[in-house]
Amino acid sequence: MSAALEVVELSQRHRTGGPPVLDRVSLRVAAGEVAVVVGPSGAGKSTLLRCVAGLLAFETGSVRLGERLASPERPEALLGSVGMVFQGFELFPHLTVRRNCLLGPVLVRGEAEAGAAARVEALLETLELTALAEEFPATLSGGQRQRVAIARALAMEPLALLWDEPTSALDAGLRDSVAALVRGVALSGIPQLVVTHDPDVAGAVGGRIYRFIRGQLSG
Amino acid sequence: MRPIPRAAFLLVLLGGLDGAGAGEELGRRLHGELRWGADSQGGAPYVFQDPADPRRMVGFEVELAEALAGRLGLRARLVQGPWEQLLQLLDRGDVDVVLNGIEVTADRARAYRLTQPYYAGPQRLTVRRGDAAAPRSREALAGRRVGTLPGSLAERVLRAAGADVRTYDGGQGDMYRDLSLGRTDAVLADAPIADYYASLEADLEVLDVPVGEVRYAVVVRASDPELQAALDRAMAALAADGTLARILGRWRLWTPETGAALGVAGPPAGLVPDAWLEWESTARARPSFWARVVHRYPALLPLLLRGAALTLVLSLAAMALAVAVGALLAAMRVYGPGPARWLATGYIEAVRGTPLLLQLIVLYFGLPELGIRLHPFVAGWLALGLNYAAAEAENDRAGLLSVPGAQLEAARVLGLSRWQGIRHVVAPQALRIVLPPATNDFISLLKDSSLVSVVTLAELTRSYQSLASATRDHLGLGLLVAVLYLLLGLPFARLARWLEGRVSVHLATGVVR
Repeated sequence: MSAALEVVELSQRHRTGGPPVLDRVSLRVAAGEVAVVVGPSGAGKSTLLRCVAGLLAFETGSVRLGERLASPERPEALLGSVGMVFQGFELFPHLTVRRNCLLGPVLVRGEAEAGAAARVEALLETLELTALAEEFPATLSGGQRQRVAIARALAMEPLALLWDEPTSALDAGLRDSVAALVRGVALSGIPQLVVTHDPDVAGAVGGRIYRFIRGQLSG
Repeated sequence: MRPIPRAAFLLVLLGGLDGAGAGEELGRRLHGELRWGADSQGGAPYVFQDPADPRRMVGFEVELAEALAGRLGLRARLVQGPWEQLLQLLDRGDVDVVLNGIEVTADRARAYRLTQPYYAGPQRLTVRRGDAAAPRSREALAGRRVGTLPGSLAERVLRAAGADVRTYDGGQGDMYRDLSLGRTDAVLADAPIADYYASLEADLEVLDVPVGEVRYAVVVRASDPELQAALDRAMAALAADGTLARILGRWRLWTPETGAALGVAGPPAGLVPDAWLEWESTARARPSFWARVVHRYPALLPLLLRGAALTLVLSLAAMALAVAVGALLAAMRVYGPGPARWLATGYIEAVRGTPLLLQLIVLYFGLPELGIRLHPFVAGWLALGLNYAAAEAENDRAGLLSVPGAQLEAARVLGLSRWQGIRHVVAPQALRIVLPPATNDFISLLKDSSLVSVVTLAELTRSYQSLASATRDHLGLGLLVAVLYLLLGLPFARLARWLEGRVSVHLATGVVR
């Protein structure tokens, strides 16, 4: 059974003594649910995601995901447990779609390639990427790249999934498909956190909406 | 020179009779070998490659070294190095003696042990034939452009005379060629050099005016009085039994000054200077370019190929070192903590800001003062590799920085460690940026490897210089060697283009972000 994602009193500054980018931010996303954080560009949404993922250290507070706890002393505790779909997708351009998805399972979880390949195959199938498995990212469309990014994240069987501005790199026509993808992932039962500057996206995705202004959440 | 009165010389000569026991001990200490340092690039008549069979070293000093070693019950082994550095090779212990036209001077006599001279003769001034304005006396040299060999006694004489001195590393032919071409007004050199090079040129005139006198002696380390004594005994014996006079006679080098210095009579009357005659006939015969291409170059090719092989092996090994150390330095600079960054930056700036030649000389001749004696190949490999590591580090850094930071974040989110992310995600993408300049660097390194000739390695350029000096054929051989360098570099340029194509095939098609 999946666990909830809990952010408690998280504070962070870009430089010591500077104004807080995150000011005692707290939120809770239950298993299988989606939380959407909406706010203007530069409000600190990406900073929040990076702190949750373990890419960025924070000053105070904690992030809890089941038994795992990230704190100012152990900010990287959730690396490898939380999936993230980056704004620019950040696919690895030198690897095929399949290799992009296999890199984590093989290197981090030490899985045999054959074992991981079966799971990746199923993911690619679900995301309608099977025909593109041997393509390199440069040849794919924006929507295809996003689905590869999701497949790559899910291949690690993450305990939560984070989305950073999921529509900004896509054509307008694809926005609805993003909402469908988020809902599809929700069926697996993991908590998801989406940040976006676009209120329409927030509505389409559904789930609880938080507003993010000057480092503080309201909702 | 170390003044030895005639009487003492005779005592030494007599002492040679009871030197058998000491000789055995010397032989054990030297492992049966007398390693003597010389520079074949200097050319005839000292030590040079036989134009008829360039695999063979000939010259009056080759014969003298073999005769001396034979007297001591040792085998003579020639160790080659640049002439200006022969005494440093002696300091390093790479050779037991230096025997290569080293002139007796007061400062050398203080720093080393010099044997009895084996040759004494004048320095000769050479000018262009029919040049009315040419300096024809020592007094006329002031302010004139005069060529000579660097570090020679002639250079000191010229400086004392106030001449505008031009020195030539490349060999004895070069300084006379520049005189012919009007780039200098005169050349001052020891009589053997003038006799073997200038006297064959129709447009040059070797003057018979007294400018200075030189004496050549074998140089021994100051700490080795036994070897000096043994060599003096052997020299005295060679003088007494006429061997030395015969050697000098064969090469037409006997002078009255030598006879006076050694206290012996000249070579037997009627001795044919066969070695000189052979040199003269070979040197005067200038086969047509086509004849050289057909007959001479194929014969010389194996020697040049040996040099080329050393160049290639050394360059590949050095590049491997440069790539490995460069990658480490770049990683320290881009990803390391403060001190690692400063260390790497300091190394790169220090190495890039100083000449490779200086680094090589310090590694080879300087480190022995700290008790570290590197083999010539190792010194050359380290100098080239560590120098190019700085260039590779900068390439690698540019490559690493060209990969967006979010790529490493994406790897980290998947759970890859920082190192795994750099290794599997960032580095493969950086390679595309790094490969073209790295290939250029390798081709530069291939060419820069010619510098290692200063540490006695006979790589391609040095092989060329020796052969060109021995055969007096700089242009034709130069073209041949240029072709060899191109052939060495080309495959790597092609390989790099192929690799580049392979690496960038997936990346070049416009990554949309």
